[in-house]
Parts: sequence; C-alpha cells; structure tokens
Amino acid sequence: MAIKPIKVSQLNGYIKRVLQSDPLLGNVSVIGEISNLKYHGTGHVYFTLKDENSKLNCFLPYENLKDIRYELSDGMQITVNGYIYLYERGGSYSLNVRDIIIEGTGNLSIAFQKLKDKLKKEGLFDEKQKKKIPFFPKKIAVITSETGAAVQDIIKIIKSRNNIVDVLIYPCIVQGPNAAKEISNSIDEVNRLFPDIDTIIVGRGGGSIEELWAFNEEIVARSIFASIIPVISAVGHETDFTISDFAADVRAETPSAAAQMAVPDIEALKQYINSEVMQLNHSIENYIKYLEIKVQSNNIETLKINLENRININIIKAENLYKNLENLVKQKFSSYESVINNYKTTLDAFNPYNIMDRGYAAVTDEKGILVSSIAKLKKGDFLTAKLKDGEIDCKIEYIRRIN
Amino acid sequence: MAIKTKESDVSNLTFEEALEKLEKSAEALKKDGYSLEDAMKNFEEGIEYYNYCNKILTMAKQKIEVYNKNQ
Repeated sequence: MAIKPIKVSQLNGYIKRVLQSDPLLGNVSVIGEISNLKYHGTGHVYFTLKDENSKLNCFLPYENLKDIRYELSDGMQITVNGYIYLYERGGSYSLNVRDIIIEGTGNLSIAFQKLKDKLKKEGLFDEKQKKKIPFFPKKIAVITSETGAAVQDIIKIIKSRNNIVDVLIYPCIVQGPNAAKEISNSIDEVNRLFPDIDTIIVGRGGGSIEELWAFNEEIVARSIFASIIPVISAVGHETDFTISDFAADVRAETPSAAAQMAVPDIEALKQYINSEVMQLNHSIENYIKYLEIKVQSNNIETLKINLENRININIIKAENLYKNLENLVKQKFSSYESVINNYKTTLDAFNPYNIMDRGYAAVTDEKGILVSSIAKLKKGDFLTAKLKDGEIDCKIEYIRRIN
Repeated sequence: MAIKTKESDVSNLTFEEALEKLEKSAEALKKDGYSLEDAMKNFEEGIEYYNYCNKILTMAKQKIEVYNKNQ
C-alpha cells in the first residue's frame, strides 16, 4: 500500500521508532574487530566494528566509558553490548555501547600493554613516587576475598612471624565485572576510615588472566597510586604481572610473599637486639677493663717499681762506663809499658857498664862530666876513672898527645 | 629527674627508631677515643633502647579482625 510522499525527517523519525522499539535491537551483543578507534575531545569514543564482510559504527558515550574494563585498541577482537540508535540528522544508525567484553590472551595482552604504556607515561609507576613499606607496622589491612586462599596464606604467614601486628581483613570481591570497582573503593575506604593502618596488602591467589583482570583495570591502579598508605600488590603467582603490581609501592610475587614483606619476624628481631645488647655489654666491659689497666699502671707501687727499674738501669749503665774507662786506662798503661820496655832494651844495649866488664873505664872531670878528649886537659887536673866495681880519683902527671 | 624525662622520650619512639638508636649505641661503644662519662652514657642509653625494643617485642597482643562493611 502506497502512502503519500513524506519528508526525510519524517522517514528517519519513523525508522528510528521502528529500530528502537525492536526488542532484539534494544539489547544486542555483537562480535567484531575494532577499527578507526577515535577518542573525541568530549570524552566520547567512536569506532567501527567489522568482520570480513561488513562494518558497524559504534558510539561509546563518556558516561559508559568509565565502566569499560579494558583499554581499547585497533585490531582487537571484542564483544560489544548495546542498543541500536538512529542519529536522525545524519540519517545513520550506530550501536550505542553499554559494555565491552574482551576475551582471549592475545586481545587481553594488547589491552594490558596499552594501559601499562598509558599509565607509565602518566608517571603512575615512577620509582620516585614509591613509598617505603614500614619496617615495623602496628596495623596492616588486607584487601582481598574473605573466602579465597590468599587471605588464609597471608594470615598464616603473619601469625608465624609476628604476634604483635594487628590485621584488618577488608573483604572485597576480586573477580568479575564489579571487582575492580570494589577493590578500588576498598583502597579508598581504608585510607579514609583507617588512617592508622601502616600498610595495605591488596591481591588475590592465582587464576586465569580473565580471573585476575580486575587488577589490570585502570581504576584499581589509580586508587593504589592515590593511596596515602603504602600498598603491596600481591596478585596470583610469581609469573603473573598485573598493572596493580606496577602502580603499587612494592610488588610481592605471591600473597604469602606479601605477608613476609609486610611484617618483620619477631623471633629474629629478638635475637638481633639480644646480640646488640651483648655487644653493648662486651664493649663497655672491655672499655672498663682497659681503663682499669690504665689506672693500675699509674699507682704508687708501680711508679716505685718503675723508678727503681730506672735507677737500676742507670747504675748498670754507670758501671759499664766505669769498666770501659778502666779497660781504656789499662790499655793505655800497657801500651806505655811496652814503649818503656823498648827503651829499656835499647838502654841495656848501650849500657856503658857492659864494656867495663871488658876492662874499659869511663873518665869524668871534677864536675862529673864525661871526658872523651885530652884537648882541654892539663897537668895537675883531677879526674875520676869509673870502673866496673868502683872509682879511682887520679891526678894528671903527664899528657901524651896521639897524632 | 633527668632520667625520668629521658624515659618518656624513649617511649615516644617507634620501634624502628629505638632499634636504630640501639644499633648506634652499640656501634659507638666499639670506637676508641671515648671519655668514661660518654661511654657510660652511651651504654645506659643503649640498654634503655634495648629494654624498650624488648618490651615491644614481647607484648603479644595481636588482633586479627574482619571488617564488616554493613556495620
């Protein structure tokens, strides 16, 4: 049945009513690959969902974007849930997005990497922003599932190491679409309601990448970063790395490891301070002993002994000097003796009495001077002839000159 | 009097601070060139820090509670 011509806007208005009253198109999920992804300045997101044969324009309004759990990227395979909407002025329809689900390790890895790059660029992972985990906390909070394995592990480790620290278990769902929001809120609430908490452990036990995904969501990372209380992130096993780990002040490989980092071992600390106090006692004893020895070495008795020793040493020194002197004198004497003896020998050799034995006599004048020539003699002079065993006084009778 | 004030000073410290001071006292006593007065003071302070640390470590009064969000 033909109707009379109508205006474009009337037609589009009609199509809009038809499309938007269709129960299927009001809540539809579509699988496809993202292309032409555009973040508009208004905060809305536009992209095209495509398969090998066809394309679908998608519109993700700003108010829904914050509920999207994944960082989007061209080429990513996603499932979009929403409703068909007709833009009357442009005469085009699009899928108005309520929610997006991403599956498969490959797609999730892309989302992970994209968010990681984005937050890193923003400085959420900067080392200089990291807070120090208190060494000796009085109270710590554990944000995790009340029923999970992680909470059991954490309590077990804490109890085995430390019987002083108070522990506040802050229950929270850790997987599923609402987990990220709850974890994020829990971190904010602990900061607000329990400012006396020293350390927060946030995490969960192992699971698939989908199960751990809440810890890869932006709001969790932002709450961790904003936390005034230092945060230890403990998600899954050693091999699982999450965005939370990067945003946290410290990453623990497992929840057990987080508990170990969060609280000191009291027994080990006791041993340590005991060794320190032993050192202290030892040092002061040594010091006092040293002072005692020093004092003792300065009493009257010791001084007396020291003085006597010194005197004795000097006496010995003087005695030695005297002995040396004596020896020197003796040596001198003996050397003179030998000189004298030499002269004696010479003298003996020339002893005039020796020749008297052979009949010679020595003649002296009246003054006792030896006369060796007749030159000054004259008749009537008195002479003395010395012989071996006596002397003869003589008077010169006659002088005979020998030519 | 003076000792009393010092005691109250010690109990204001965190465990970490007291431990650090204990370590410093022990370390300082190992060094030479101390007067007896300084050494004794150091020793007494060290013992005080030790007693304080020990007191904290032996007062087991752990509380583990689950927060009830609906309370």
